[in-house]
Amino acid sequence: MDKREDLKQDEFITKLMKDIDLKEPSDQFTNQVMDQVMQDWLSKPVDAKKPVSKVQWIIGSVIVVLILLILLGTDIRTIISDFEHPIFTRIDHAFLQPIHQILSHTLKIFTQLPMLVYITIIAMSFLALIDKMLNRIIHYR
Amino acid sequence: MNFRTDNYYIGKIKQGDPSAYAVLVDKYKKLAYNVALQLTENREDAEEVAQDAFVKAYQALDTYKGDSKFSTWLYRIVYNTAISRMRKKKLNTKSIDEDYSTSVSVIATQSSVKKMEVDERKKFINLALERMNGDEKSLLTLFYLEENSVDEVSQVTGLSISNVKVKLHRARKKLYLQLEALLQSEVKAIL
Repeated sequence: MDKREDLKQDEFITKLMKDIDLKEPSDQFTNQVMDQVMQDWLSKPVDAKKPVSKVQWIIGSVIVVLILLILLGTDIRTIISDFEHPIFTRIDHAFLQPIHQILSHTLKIFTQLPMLVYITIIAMSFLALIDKMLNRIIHYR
Repeated sequence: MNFRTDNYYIGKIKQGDPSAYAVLVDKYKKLAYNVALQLTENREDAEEVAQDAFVKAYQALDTYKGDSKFSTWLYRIVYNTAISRMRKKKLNTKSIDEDYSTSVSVIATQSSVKKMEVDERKKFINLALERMNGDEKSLLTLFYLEENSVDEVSQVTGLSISNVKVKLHRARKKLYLQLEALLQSEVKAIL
């Protein structure tokens, strides 16, 4: 049988199959399934907390570290540097001062960036947010 | 009329609303039941298999990542549940890897079938399908009635894509042969 005949056969079967009456399951089908589903649901403890995904853990950790670094480089450093005890002075020199310098340097870089960069970042974030919202609406409609 | 996608209901179930599953059961019960029926060839078994499959699908819903259609994922569960039920009951199903190299007069069969009234046509198709084995019927149903692609049928049945293509080709041919045989016996009966 050549390919053309095979295609014809395929089209023909497609039309034929549309005429088939599918058999109906019993009227209680959905109820019986849902009874079992509800039993299963009731037998499981309800999770009060939503599981936190890996990405959420990473984002959260990065935010906490950043906040800690900013606090260590600014407020905490100001408090500690006010004490004149040699331990605090050593901590300030070895640990807090370098963080403070890195933060100051980073801030300087940010202030030197042209305004266009900020506008682009804000616009892109806004577009990404709209895209995510629209995707969610379409996906779950 | 319902315009919401399956993912909407899956999302609701995952958020703790199991009653949303009833919509999916209602939507897919007919085809799931028919896939099970074609494999088990017994209404009671098919009903049990389809119900079991729906419950299994609900219990495994967290593993459904949405990479494939929900229906494809569900039919795979139905298919596997039916196969294991059949194995348990030791039902012998004929393989469709039989030789159907007999020539089929496509045009003659097509014109005879086209001339028939819709009801008569339905009767002949159903009779022809009844003469086929479960594997063949379920493949034809999944491919033609549910309009799954060969790739999706492969996902449901666990067969390779090339194997699905070969089996579909043979199932089509066999359906033709059965139709032809039925039409011939009908003509003989009239004469």
